[in-house]
Amino acid sequence: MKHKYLHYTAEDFILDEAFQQWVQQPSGEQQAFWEQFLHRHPEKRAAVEEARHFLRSLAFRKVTPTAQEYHTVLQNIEAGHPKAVISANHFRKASFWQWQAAAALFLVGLGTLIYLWWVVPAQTVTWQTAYGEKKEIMLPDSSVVVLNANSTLRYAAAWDDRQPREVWLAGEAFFEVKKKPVTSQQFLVHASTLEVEVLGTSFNVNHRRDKTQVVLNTGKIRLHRTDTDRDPQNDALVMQPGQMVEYFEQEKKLVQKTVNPAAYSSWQENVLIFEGTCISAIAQRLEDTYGFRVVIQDPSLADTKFTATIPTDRVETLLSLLSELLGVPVTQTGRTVTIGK
Amino acid sequence: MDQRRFIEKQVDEPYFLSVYQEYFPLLFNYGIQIAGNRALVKDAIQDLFIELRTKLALLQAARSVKAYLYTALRRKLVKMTAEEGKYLHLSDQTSFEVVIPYESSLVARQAGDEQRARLAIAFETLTRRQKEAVYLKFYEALSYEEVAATMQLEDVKSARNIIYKAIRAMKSNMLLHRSASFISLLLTFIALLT
Repeated sequence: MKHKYLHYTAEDFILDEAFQQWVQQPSGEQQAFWEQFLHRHPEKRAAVEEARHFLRSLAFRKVTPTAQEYHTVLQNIEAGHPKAVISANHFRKASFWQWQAAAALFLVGLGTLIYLWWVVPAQTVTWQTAYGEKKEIMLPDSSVVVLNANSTLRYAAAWDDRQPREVWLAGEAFFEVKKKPVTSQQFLVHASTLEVEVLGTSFNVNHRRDKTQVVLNTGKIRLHRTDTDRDPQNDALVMQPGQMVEYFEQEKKLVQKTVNPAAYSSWQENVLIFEGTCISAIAQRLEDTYGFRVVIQDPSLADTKFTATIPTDRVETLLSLLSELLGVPVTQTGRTVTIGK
Repeated sequence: MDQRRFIEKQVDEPYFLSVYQEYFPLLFNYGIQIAGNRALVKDAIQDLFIELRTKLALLQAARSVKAYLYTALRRKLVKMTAEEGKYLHLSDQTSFEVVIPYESSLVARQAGDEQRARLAIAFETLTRRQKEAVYLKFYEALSYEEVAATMQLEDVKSARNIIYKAIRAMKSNMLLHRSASFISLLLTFIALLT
């Protein structure tokens, strides 16, 4: 051992583990050894002192944790909450109960939103008319709707001034919409995939058998197609009074015509007005309004157009007048009406 | 196997506490040298000890508790900071800083300060790996074997080599400045005498 150290430079002493131990944590035994070594080899004293000084001078910045840091970390360890941080920014992972609380809050919030968005507005009023029945309805904004036979009208029980006034129609109805000049609040009629936007007005909407027919009496309305595959560039149409628009759902086709609007809303006054109407349209009207199954026996009638005003107060009168108009017998057997023969 | 399972289940609380008590301040200090961020270091130590509670047998079986803990903490911190891409950035700025301790006697302070200032400058020229190895060897007083284990070096020889080269570099750097500082030291003595 002594032999080895005789050739040591200061550098060698620094790198020697036994020497390091003596400088850093001297034990009694090491102290005795190195004192004896220096006594016997005074020529080594300079190197030893230099190495000792070097090692003692290597003082590093020491950072001591506070007592609070000591205890907090210990408590966390004993509670077993792993930090699992992968972040110098310290986004810590939420503990299990935090996740539970967050999940519970989320569900409560979701429930509230569902209630406010769907349940409350879903408190709706629904009017339904039977075959041959008509109903006059006053809406929450005091607009008037005359609902024709075999039709359904649905709308929210309470209307918010800030929301558009909206009604959903299946069948046929005539609307007299109250103007809202101050708020210019929209009035929307949803008839299947056609939406009628009202700009203060009276009009007739008829949605039967994949066809929606809108006839404007007064004012102005805008139609919107709402089917999903509509052309967004070409889905709206503004109607002028006296115009009729028919929308064929299968063909996705809008047909615009000029008509006598009174003819299309005359049902309100218990009158059917035919103006150059073909027999199939008359048959459809009977089926839709009175729930008859109409059988046309005489094919020669197909090309004939009829013009007439027929009161509809009583079905018997209607059928006998039809018979007179068409020039063929019209007979009723139960729910079936037979034209011709 | 049965015995090991028993050890894993039963946490030896007094032993666990004694390890924590002894090593928390040391690990904290070492962690700060590596990462510089108190909160990050505390989190890493916390995770380390939580994992350790169930693996006390491994710690007891380790050849050096200190090296075992230092290795585990270093691995954790390197992972945590590296995933943020901040390892090099953080450690280059804050790690392993040599400070000049206070000496009570004025002359010793004058002489010692010179020496230590040169030492601090020389230390700054070392690479990060050299600094860490020197810190673990001479400040933490780990053996070469423990330094190798902690820094995940190939073998003990690599640890020796890194430290040897570091000392050589520091010494030569200090020698360069010696002549200049010797004159300034002389001037200081003259000034004190007159």
